[in-house]
Amino acid sequence: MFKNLDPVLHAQLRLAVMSLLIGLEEAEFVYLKEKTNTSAGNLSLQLDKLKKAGYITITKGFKGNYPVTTCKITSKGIQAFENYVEDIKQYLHPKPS
Amino acid sequence: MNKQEFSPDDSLKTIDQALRQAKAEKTGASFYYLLWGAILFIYFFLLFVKAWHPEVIGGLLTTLMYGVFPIGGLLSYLRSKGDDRREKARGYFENVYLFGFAGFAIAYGIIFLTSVYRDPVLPAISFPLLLGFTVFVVGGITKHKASIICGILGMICTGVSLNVSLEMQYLIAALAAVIVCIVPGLLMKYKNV
Repeated sequence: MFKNLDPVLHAQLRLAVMSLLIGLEEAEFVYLKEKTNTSAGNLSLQLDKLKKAGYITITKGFKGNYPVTTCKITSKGIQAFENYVEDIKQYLHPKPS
Repeated sequence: MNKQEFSPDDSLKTIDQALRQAKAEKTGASFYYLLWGAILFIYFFLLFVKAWHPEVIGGLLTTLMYGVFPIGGLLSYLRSKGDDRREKARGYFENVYLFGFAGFAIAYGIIFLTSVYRDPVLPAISFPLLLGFTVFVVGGITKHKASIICGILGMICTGVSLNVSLEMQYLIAALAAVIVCIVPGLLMKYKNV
């Protein structure tokens, strides 16, 4: 029996963001926008969903005189990502019952 | 990139692509390897010259010998400030370099300050061992093979150093700075690490 995939992560942009963040300590909004090749509005919306799920934290600060938004994955986010990868493996290599 | 529904295969491709992008993030470590490798080489080479032919080392060279450290500190500080301004993402490896080399500096500083006046041999022989060990561990974590090999070679330098005179120990320490810092630094620069 296949598990239901985490609906928060099973969306291309959110999954891409989480996959980037899991390999980094933290990343700025502009970095994520550049790497995912998406619009600022769409990225903001998806980051908000990840934040509401408790998978990432979003910090607003300044670098010199410029405002900077920094995203960081949480331990809940890491756990959810690992579970998602395990679930995906089941879909790709189903165990014979 | 705005598909809301996609197949497990697409998921895997997305994860793989994003992980590769995150892994490709540069650390800028090669600059610090090259800078500090050169500084440590100059310092130990001048110590070697001073021990071998004390008459050669005048006031200017003695000033240079100790002056390279604040210059290195200043250049590192300026570079790190520039990196902070440019950097849009911070990888985990940056902390590995930071804590690895801070640990080396503290350990070597303790040995240096507690023994150099009574016994100058200990700092000279422990330098390649501590630096080699640090580069070996950092190379292992960051999966940089050249650093692992150069780290081992650095540790071997200490074994050689134990059986030679003080002047030669300084020369071996200078060579260790080249092997353990400059060689991996050049390879990192070439590979854009």
